[in-house]
Amino acid sequence: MSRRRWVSTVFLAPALLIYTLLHIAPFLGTIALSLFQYNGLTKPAPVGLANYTSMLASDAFWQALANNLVWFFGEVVVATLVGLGLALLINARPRLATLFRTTLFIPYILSWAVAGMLWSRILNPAPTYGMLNAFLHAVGLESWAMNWLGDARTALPSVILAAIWKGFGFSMIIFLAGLQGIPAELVEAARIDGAGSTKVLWHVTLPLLRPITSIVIVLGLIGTFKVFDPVWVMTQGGPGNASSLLAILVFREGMNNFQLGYSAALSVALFVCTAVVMALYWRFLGRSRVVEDD
Amino acid sequence: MERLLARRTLLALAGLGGLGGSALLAGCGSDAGGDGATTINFWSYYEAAARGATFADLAKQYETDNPGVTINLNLAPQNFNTVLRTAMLSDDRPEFLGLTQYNMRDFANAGLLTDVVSVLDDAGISSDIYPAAVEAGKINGTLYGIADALRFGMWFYNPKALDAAGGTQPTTYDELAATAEKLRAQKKYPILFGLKDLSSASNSFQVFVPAFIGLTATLAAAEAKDYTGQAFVDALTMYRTMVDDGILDASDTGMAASDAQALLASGDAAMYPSASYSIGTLVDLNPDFKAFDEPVKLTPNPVATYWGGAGQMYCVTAGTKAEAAARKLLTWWVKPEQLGVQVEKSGLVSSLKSANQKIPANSLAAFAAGNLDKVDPEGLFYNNYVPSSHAEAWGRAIQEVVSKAKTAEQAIETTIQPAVAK
Repeated sequence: MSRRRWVSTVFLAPALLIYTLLHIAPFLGTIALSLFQYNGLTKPAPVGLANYTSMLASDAFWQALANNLVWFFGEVVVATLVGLGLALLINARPRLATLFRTTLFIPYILSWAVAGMLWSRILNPAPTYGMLNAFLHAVGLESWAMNWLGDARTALPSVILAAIWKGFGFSMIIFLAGLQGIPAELVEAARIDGAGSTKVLWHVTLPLLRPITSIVIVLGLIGTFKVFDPVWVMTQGGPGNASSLLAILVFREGMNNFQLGYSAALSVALFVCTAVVMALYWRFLGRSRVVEDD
Repeated sequence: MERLLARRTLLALAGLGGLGGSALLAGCGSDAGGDGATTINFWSYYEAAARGATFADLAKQYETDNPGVTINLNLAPQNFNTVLRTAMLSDDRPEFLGLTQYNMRDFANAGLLTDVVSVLDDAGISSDIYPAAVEAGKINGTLYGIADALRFGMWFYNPKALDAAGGTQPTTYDELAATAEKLRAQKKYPILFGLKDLSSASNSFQVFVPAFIGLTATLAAAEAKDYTGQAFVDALTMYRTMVDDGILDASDTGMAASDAQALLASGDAAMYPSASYSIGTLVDLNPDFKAFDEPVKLTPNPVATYWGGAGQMYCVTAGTKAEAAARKLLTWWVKPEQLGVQVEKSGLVSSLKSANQKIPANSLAAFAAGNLDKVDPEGLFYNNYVPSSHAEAWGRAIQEVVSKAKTAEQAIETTIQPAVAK
């Protein structure tokens, strides 16, 4: 081994050791734990793949997985589109841009503990408490008033609505940065060639925003499978399992029910889901971008 | 050379730091030893806001009476069960515990708790304590915990709200439905539980279990992990029937327990079937709260009419350096004088007959204490003996039935059974 390589190995070793201890070892430990039944107190009992078969036979697991997909299309996609729309508006109207940018970004910096309580109060079913139902009563739309967080049909969409409100500020800021990086000459050239606003948007702005869009979507995809706090604060996954996500199931089984082996199996499933989605993304979108870049 | 020395100095300092840190950590242990000083770590699931001041006063008094003893109170930290379970597996276990019954059972089965039967005689409470409180602390014949309180099932009501609907206490299900209709006409909620919170949802099941199932069958089902019996379907169906009859509102599943209690206190809701542990919270919100003289008979021939349960179990951790000191503290803590202080300050219905004499007459706590003897063995529902995963599954099933997402049969088959089978 050359001296140069030896030195680089020595310098990398501490970081590699820490990474192994803090990431790889727990990950392998989680996989091993998923093959045991363990309540945190008594000796773990090996159960083979029983935790996985229980998981695959569980309605709660499939419902949570479906809810994760709904979350992606409902929250990530919509919040991205809203963020893009607002970024385009703010970019087109520089006047008061700072005020709008700051105001619209504020929900993103709130903690979910605060935002969740706020939305729980807005969506409280009692008209004397819930602002939304109180408003509907006040304008004569009593029949529209609902048990937003307690009805299996509306619980998840209600949490997603709150998450869109809280999350679009992030994509808006990223898109704004992207928009400000588009050379003005390109837009001017398109306009000289006779392109209207819509054509400029479709043929100049949006294509140039594609790398930024990719970043926002990738971060959203990864985040989708990690979502925990909004649901936990607002519904705890209920009523029943109607708004449960995979991360909620992992926490509930591990920390509330002390089914640590089963919780580990769910964690492995969560990892597999994230890995599959990321692989698909890079297979279809990542490659096309590389080809274009070439 | 200078650099080499600097490295050596650094290593020496790091070594000294490590030794110093180890010594510091060792000093944090329960028993410093040598000078006779003893530290007892006391963890309780009671929240600091509810009992904290009383516990702190009692701990201070004990420290004064026993020089050299320090009591570290840790009241209901975030994720109490998880944190406690982790601590109990470490070498730094809390020595004195206030537990739910299911935690007590799990810890006892793992060999983490010690037999405390001698404390009954040492504290002089053998003939003073209610037999039910002793039974609640036994697992396979060994006494692992001493209950601080007994609970009595109560139907609370807001007199202002109920008076507006005629003021008559319903005694049967049909009368309850008729009262609910009058309350609905006044745009009031007849009954609220706050079922959004799983603890409220699973606790509310206690109201229905005695009538339809009773204690024996419930414990047998928990042991067999089989809740498919018709009595369980009937108990769960009762929620749906109450929604259909306008007694319980489907919106209850979207309401937090605190919101439901606030609506009850304001008179926007009228009735709150619960237990004596709710007395303190409700009276703080509205001192006018009252309880029905008799519980509503939800079914013509209930398995048990009255129900009760045990409160916090005081336990001593086995095999710690301060085990003897913790046992001594337990002996002092469960005497009538100490439990009496809690009775006076927090509306607790004590597990000791003599301590309950300190309850103010004509109070809700006095009503509960005076009726404890009505709770026959079949009606003493050890809810906390049912594993927490079972209780949570029941809570979810109740949410599903009340929000009309599933029928009782579907909820048992798809929510309860898969959860308890693991």
